Amino acid sequence: MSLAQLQVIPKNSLILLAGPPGAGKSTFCHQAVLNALATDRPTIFVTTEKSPSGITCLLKEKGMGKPVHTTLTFIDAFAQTVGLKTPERPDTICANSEDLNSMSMAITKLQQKIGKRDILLVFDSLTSPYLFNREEVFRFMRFCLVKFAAEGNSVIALMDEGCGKSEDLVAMMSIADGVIKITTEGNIQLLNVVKHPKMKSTRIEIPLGFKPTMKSAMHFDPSVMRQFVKSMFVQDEAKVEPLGTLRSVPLFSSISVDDLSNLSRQLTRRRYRKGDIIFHKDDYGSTFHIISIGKVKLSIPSEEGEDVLLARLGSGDFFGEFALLDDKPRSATATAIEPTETLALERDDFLDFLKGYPEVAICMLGVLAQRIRNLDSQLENIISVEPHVRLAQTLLKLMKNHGSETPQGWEISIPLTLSGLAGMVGADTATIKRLLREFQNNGIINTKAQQYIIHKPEELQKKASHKTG
Amino acid sequence: MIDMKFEYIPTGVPGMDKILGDKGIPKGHTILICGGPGSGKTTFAIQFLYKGVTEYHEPGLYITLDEDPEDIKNNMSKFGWNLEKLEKEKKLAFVNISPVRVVPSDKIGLIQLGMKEFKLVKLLEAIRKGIEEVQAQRVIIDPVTIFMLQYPDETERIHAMRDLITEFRKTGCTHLLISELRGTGLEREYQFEEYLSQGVILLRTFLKGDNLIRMCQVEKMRGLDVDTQPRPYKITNSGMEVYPDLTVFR
Repeated sequence: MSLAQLQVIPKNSLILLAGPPGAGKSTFCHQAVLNALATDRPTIFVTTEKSPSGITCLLKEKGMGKPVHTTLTFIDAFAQTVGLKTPERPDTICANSEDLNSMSMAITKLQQKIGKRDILLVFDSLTSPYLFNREEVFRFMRFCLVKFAAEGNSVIALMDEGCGKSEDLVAMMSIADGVIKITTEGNIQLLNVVKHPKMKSTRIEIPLGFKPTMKSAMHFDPSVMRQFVKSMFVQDEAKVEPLGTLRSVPLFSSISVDDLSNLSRQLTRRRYRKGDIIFHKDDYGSTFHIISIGKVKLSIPSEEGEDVLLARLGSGDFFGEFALLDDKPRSATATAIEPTETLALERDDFLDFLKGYPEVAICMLGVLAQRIRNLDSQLENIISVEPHVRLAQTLLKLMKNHGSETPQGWEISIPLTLSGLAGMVGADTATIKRLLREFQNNGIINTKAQQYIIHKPEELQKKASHKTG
Repeated sequence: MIDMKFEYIPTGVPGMDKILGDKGIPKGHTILICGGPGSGKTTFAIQFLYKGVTEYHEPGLYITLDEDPEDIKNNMSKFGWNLEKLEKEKKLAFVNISPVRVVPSDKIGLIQLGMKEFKLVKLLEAIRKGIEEVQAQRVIIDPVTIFMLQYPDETERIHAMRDLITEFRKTGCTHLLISELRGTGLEREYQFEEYLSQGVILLRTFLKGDNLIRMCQVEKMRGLDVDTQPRPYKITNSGMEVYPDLTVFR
């Protein structure tokens, strides 16, 4: 039996996933969600410790495409529980983890909305409802979760081990149809299938792959070793308060500590190793990153191999801001060029924040303007290198389609204005004029009042095939 | 148990009819709606009238002894219910008899004490007029408590209530009497109105931590096999909604 099989939650059953905090319960669940989404199975995600936007981000990082609202829906039992304003999302219903009624009503509501059976319900996690309600949680599991599962759906519920009485966990385990215990031992994650409606009890061992492990350091390559040590160091250093990082960002310099601490609560910390890609160009994303530690490069990959470097950013800088302003795919690829930690903020949260602080918006406009200026000058460079290739290509095409051979050479038989040609090449008339003069000086072509005669097509061909300069 | 002579009218509150044996309220009965402050009694009543008009073609009459009809109309517009329009179309009538003072008239029933009986007469008169005006089939008295308060003597009060209910029955309309619930907790004493009316729907609230939990319970409903379990309900932005399949968690 494999992990992947285990992550498909069987129909009509409630699986309890128990383990100490940090053992990888949530990760297991996210994988189960991705599996469900991959087969178009409607999924309800009840979240008590994180915002739906945070979870969407994590799922996207793990490979979720643009979510279809009807497939993945959330019950946000986080915002209301901690007393935050709940951002309105079409795919989310709010509930309070202190009030089990609100959660069962939200589940019913979504169930009605989805309207078909075979729904996967992920409950991450039962811990806070348990801490708030104690005995009532068992009734909730029976009368809400087990009932929901029995209606032709599947439920996976998470519970932290060791946060209450041990007999309470046993009581929960007896209610559930299946129990999986997750623990970590050194570098190995242990999945202990205590009971399962579809499988025999078994143990699965998974080596943890998310850190640079000793295995990669086995070759005693000094650089790998250095990176290994450095990454350990960065992890320690990364315990910096997000608030401290926010305060050092020039963008937020005018904002009071109180308001910043409000903002910092909506941040998720993300860590990347050197060379990790934070997001790809053309990905869909709605996260804005502020670098707290490390360096990030923004680039546009080109088919020829060499990436076009747009910017190199360091701590205190931010990127991904375009995703905040429109809902379009990423305009560039962001790569960590050092072990990096960023503070990630969801589009909706940040837009809400901006509404209260026009000065931040103004400051951001300044930074954006600077970036656009940089891009413009780069663009100009690109154009001044590329157009003569494109001009050569355009002329060759015209020669092929409209050319006639004369004693002087190939004559393009249609009248062509300078601006018309510029439009075809995709450059400004001045550039085209300059390039035409250049070609003429080299004796490749001859132009006279909307007439173009190509003397040396083979030279033009050579120019057209040049990739650069 | 179930008398097949009964006709039933849907309440218009999603989920509520399922609790009421998948039928609704027996037509012509007088039902008591008991609830604490903010439990949604008025919302329930107005929803009963509004849906009655818009979905079941039953005109309605709203008698208020407490709140100004204008306030009620304004408050209820947040649910998207345009009561003003229905009023203009003569499908809904609001009668405000809160400032009823001395109006000499005939006595009625057993009550003969000073001006109080005039109030009963006035109330019945208003109801009759209102019913005639829009051909009402659904009538709300909100709240009946105010009316009862003027009879300090318990026996007197019971008689007044009985008279009222007898008069209501003659009209053939379905009446909802709104009453304040004394004792909002889970343990409470029964109120005499509950014995007199033919059905009682309780809207109860209690605090769980910092959260208000709402539950709805049909305590009695003559002529119906009802679900007497408390069920959670919610006041959403489109009115009241009961979850008949859910258990209340305390």
